[in-house]
Amino acid sequence: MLKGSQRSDMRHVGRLCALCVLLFAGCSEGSSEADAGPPVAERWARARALWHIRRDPGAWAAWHAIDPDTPEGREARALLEEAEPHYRRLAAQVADGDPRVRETFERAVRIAPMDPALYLPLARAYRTQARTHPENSVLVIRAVEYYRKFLALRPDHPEAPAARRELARLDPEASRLFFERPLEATEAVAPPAASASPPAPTWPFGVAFAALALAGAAVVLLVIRSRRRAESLGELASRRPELHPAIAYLVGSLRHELLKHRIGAVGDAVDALGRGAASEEQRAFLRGRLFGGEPLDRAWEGHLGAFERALGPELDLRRRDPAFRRADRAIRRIASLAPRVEAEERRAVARLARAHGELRALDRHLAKLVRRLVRTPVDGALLRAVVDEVRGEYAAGRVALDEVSIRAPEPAPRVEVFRVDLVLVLKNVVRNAILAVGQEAPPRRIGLDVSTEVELTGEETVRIRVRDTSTERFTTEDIYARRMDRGLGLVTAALGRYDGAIAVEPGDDGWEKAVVVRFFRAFDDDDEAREA
Amino acid sequence: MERLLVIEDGDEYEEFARLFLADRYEVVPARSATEALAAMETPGADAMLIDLRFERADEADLLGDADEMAARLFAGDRARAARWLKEQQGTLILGALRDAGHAQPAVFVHDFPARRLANLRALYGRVGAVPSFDAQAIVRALERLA
Amino acid sequence: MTPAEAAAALAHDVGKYVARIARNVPPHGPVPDALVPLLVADLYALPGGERPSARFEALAAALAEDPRVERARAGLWTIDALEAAVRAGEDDACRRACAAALEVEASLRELAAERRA
Repeated sequence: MLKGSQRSDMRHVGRLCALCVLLFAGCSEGSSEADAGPPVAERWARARALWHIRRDPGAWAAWHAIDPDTPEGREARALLEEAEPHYRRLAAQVADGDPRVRETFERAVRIAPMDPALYLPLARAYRTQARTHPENSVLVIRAVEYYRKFLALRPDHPEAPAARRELARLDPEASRLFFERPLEATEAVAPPAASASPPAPTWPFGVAFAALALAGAAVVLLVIRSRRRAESLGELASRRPELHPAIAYLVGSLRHELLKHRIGAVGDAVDALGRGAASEEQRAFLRGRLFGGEPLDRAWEGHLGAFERALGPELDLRRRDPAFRRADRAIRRIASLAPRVEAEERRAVARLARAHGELRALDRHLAKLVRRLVRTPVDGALLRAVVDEVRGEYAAGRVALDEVSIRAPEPAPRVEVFRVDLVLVLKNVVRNAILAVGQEAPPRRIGLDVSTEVELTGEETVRIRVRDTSTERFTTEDIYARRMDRGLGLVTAALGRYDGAIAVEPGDDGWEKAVVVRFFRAFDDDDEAREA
Repeated sequence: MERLLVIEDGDEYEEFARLFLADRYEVVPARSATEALAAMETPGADAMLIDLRFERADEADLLGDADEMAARLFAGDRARAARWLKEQQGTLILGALRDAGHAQPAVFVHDFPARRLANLRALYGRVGAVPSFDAQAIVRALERLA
Repeated sequence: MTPAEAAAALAHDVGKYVARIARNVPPHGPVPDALVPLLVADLYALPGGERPSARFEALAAALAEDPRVERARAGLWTIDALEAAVRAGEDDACRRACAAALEVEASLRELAAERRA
């Protein structure tokens, strides 16, 4: 039976094989008439799926190939332009060792794919970092990965020869494996032209062969790297916002049952024992909490098991999470010290105090983690993700929209709402807007924007407005009275949990109406620092 | 001697002011927006000391429309809106006083986030906050705003 | 009540009022007789009559373990332990209770500020 990490590896191998199939299919498609092929709306839907579902590096070309004189093409170009500055920033952040790399990357990825030309500066940035930190082999692996992607997707780029030489110095085996002979000019992939008749994406067989070899090498690398891809709790939380409520629940349970009642509660007793001043009651209390009842290490294992079962095989608390790793050692140390602590051996008591301190540190770390989880920035990337998810649905995906506009301020205001719940609320509102305009004649437009308002109390509220051009009429009261059975009952329930509200406002500037969702703004450290 | 209007829903602030600020201020108490507005007319005041939360006030004495706030901010939850009016009552009373033309310095005994205090200043002018019942700090804050 | 709301309520309902008189007692010399009943009121009966330590426990139940919560609890236990002596106006007891009240206020304010952040 495969272990969790092995199942994950196999999924990635499967994706790479799918990539190869796609590339080969693209090769055969490329030989057919450029004009024949699915309509532009379908091509756009496929191109979006290529990125948002498969994260295919070839998605950029597919997006760029959509005719820019069509609404879909304009939308694609607008999104590519919106994402590009974020991608460009990545190389500089990697070079600087900036910890916000992941945040920037996630933000960009949610908008649109990256121009493959930008893989080269990224590869070079990782190569530079790898020289500075030779002990971190992941940096070399990333550099090689991005050189390969650049060369696979832009083999005719002016810097391709230099990139091949750099890759050869970094990873001679990889360079030999993929480039046994130089690519001929006729095999070079021309950059997509902004022609009136959009061609389907095509790939030369050399590129497809490179992809097969890539998949084969990746199988080897993935097996080797399988343990390295496991994540800490913080990394998982950054990558999987839909898990935030579950993480908050699991953390709360661990903190309350173990860290509060068994560890935190004996803090004074541990201190007193260390000073040689513990009363008999304190000793008994400490014995009972730490060494009585369910063994501490078993209780701890139980909590870790709950995390692993609920959050999946990517989580590796014991090896990949420094705070949990230290706490794990502390728990085992405390469990092993029982007889010596009871005998009040000085060294054992000192070790107990240190271990106790480690567990208190874990508690503080978890408190900070959870506080961050429930704060969500309301930014363009979030709104874009909401729209894309809704448009990936069957009914909403069939509506031909003439315009989707999204505006959000930078820096984005934050609200104290789990991202998954905010997305649930907004998806319902956006879905209703798209389906409503779908019932009407063109132009069919929706617009999302974010603003903040200062209340008379000095607090601020964040307004997320979804405007549409549908002439359908309903009121705020209709929503709260559940006279509209379109998922808006779920919305009002979710709003109630977070001190939020929803209202229907009349339209302006060519819009028929707006549905406005409002939450109190969460003031954070950045705001405090700016005001200081 | 200057007059200090003390606005709260109990008598702790008034008691505190009479004990520790009496050498600087004559204390004028007010327990609601209505009393505060009246006291500003007669006998008047040169500064204000305000409690933010009016947990003990009757809803009928609160400034603000709970139904309107419920619809606008709290998904129609009237009870939650009423609680919010109590929690933020001090700022709403200050707003009413400013609307009536009373621009005197006002100090809250509350630990506001910096951005919120900046918003209050933008809305209401001379506003300060001291996080605790610290007589010297309150006097300094009032002097700075004067 | 969310943890953030509980922390804010603790800072306002307990921390602020328990230190109201304590913070303003003259730093030197005996605690003025006139302040003792007011100090007693702050330390043993919040506005509304509830004992600060009881109100604290009711609100702290919504919070997980935290050194600030523990420090505040320790301060309130000290205050309760000194009740008879404080009510009798014993100067040393009043001074110690005042110090404990300031510690309670500082801890709860720090906790509330961090929960906001």
